[in-house]
Amino acid sequence: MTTTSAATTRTPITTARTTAGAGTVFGVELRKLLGQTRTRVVATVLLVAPWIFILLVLHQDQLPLETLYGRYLKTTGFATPMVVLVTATQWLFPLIAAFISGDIFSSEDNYGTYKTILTRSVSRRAVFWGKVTAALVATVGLVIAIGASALIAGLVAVGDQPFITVGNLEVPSTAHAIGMVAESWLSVLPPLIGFASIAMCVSVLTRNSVLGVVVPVVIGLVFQMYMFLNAWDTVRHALLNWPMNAWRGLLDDPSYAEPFLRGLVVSAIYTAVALTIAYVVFHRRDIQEG
Amino acid sequence: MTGAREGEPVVSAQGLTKTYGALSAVDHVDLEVGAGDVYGLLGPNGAGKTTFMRMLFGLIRPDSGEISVSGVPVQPEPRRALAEVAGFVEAPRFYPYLSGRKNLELLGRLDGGLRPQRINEVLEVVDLFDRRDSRVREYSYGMVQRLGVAAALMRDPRLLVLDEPTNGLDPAGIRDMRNLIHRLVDTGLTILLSSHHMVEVDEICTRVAIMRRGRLAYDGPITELRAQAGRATRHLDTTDNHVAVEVCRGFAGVEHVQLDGPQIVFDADEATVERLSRELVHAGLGIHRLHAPTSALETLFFRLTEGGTGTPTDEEAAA
Amino acid sequence: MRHLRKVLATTVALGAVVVGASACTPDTTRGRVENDVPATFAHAYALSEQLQGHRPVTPDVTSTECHSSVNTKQDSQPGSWGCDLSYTVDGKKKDVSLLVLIDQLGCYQASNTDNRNAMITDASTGAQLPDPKVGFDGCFDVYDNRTNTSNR
Repeated sequence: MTTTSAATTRTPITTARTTAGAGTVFGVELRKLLGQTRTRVVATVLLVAPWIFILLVLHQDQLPLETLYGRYLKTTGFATPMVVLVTATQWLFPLIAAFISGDIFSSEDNYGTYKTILTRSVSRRAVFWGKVTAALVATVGLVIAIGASALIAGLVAVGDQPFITVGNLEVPSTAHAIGMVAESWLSVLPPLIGFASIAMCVSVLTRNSVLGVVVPVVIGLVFQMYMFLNAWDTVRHALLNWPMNAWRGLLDDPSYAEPFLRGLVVSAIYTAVALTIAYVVFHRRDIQEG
Repeated sequence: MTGAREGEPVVSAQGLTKTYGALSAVDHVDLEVGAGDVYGLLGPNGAGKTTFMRMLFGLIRPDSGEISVSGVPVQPEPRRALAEVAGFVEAPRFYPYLSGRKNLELLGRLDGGLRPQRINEVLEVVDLFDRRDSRVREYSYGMVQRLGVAAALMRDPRLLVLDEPTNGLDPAGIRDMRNLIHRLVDTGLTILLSSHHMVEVDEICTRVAIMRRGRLAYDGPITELRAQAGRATRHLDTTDNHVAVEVCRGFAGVEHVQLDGPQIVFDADEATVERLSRELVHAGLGIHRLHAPTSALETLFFRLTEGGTGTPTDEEAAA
Repeated sequence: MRHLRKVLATTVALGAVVVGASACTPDTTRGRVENDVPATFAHAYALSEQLQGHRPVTPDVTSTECHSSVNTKQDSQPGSWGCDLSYTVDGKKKDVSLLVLIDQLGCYQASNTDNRNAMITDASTGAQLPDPKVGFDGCFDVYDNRTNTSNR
């Protein structure tokens, strides 16, 4: 142990200590997320995947005709982000939401670090909302980055031929086409936030990182299985996977926004209920572990 | 302390209670830590020390009673009450995938920001400056313990709370940690330190509280405790223990004499032991071994916390 | 916890009301299919011509009749549908039969039952592509007011 007297040179505190808010926690959480090797690896794989996909498609004769926009993969580069979107809405987006958000609370239980952060100048409320915001920004950011990567991959590998709408009309303007692709990707964000909120709720309730990731994915799969059933249609409309597909109406001719608007309400309900439960439980819990 | 008034205790607990089902982890504890005190909270494992400290940090809520820091109740205003409190409960924990310095940087942000130079200063104090860029997962247990102290010092606290800071450390780590605490004591910090080692508390603290099954068994200056302690438990082995036992039983100042397997166990103070050894030799007995496995304070500690004879188990004696 | 129970109870009640209020209207109805398929066919026809470098001509669909092959009691429900379209293009009257596979999202794949594997050459790239007018995808609005499910 050093014999320096730095401990004795305590800086006099002339003002009351600043309390860190949710914004500060947000910054700290983002740094922690980016500091994790697994986050960086998964993000890299997801960003590279669309490039590999379109290069493989271009080197084979068959096209995935059973997938919406699959038949246009060689016709226009704008079809690439659309096929990635169709595929991702089925299982990848819930998985991404669970991967990032399902761990953000329970990892503190896992490392025993709640006591480390909650004994600093930060309130539980700030910790909760800082973590929620960081998880949502990271999830949304990653999804938007995948969309951008898929769009660039399509444009580079295939070209910027006119976009084709869901109603099979050509969109000659490249700027308009980029806008429509962006619109469709942005329209999945509300249900994505809903899935992320469920993941955070499970993360708070179970205090277990594995369950925090697995349970939301299982919920997403159960929802998806119901989507394939010829059961009550109205129940299907109340599932989070439904608004994931609302972009099809926005890109149709003529376009219709009702599925998207109803999806906003459904997503908001899931988000509000999941985050309310998570907040109440998080705020009241005793930190006995670690 | 923020909002502290002259003469007001730094920590004040009144009727503090926390139960888990039928178990009273902390049972109506009243306790005061004054400014400048080096306060030892003693007790065996499970006595309630850590639960008390978690309530002090606002990590768990008491079922009843109140704990306040500088007059500000921890519940419902933990941030205001704990503005100038720092420390750790049980083993300090950090993000293992980040370096020690990065961990401190993030914690500094949660304290509202701090000078980067301060991180280097506290890393120097705990002798981790050279390992500042190693990931915490590569640190030894003792290094993590010292990083915990560094994280606490970074807040420039007026009250430092350390929960069993030498627990789990090897002898060198214990020596380093005790040296560090001694230096911190010299800075005038108010320190609340929990331990289950009487020697450690005796060496460092000015006041002490002893907990037993969630309740306070003693609370007062260490000097008073020493005065109460008086006699330590002694172990004696002679050439004829049956004769020696009779000598001991008839000797003034020797108490609780019993033949315990291959040795005689009794309580006596230093002066009595000196006279007794002469008497034993005078009675023609050879003394193989005469020693005090625990100090007088430890003997009293075991009595207070176990309600027994004051004889420690071998494991406790080794500790 | 009482607050939490209130939130949960309100959510369940709201959900039950929404489900109960609209449980009787199926998403896939004959009205919706017969409205969307001919419009999308016309667009796909024009797209096919355009991709081949021809003058983009949009056919005028004069009649459409669609029936479910799955639900024989009424024309509703996803699955396999058959659509017969009559249209005129460049003054010539033509007919086409389409097999329409509808999914639970209100989207479908339509293919010409006579010539579903036809390929065209993209005039701009020279690539061989599936002909959009013999195989195309589309989606309809499951919330519009074309709730007619009458059979035959």
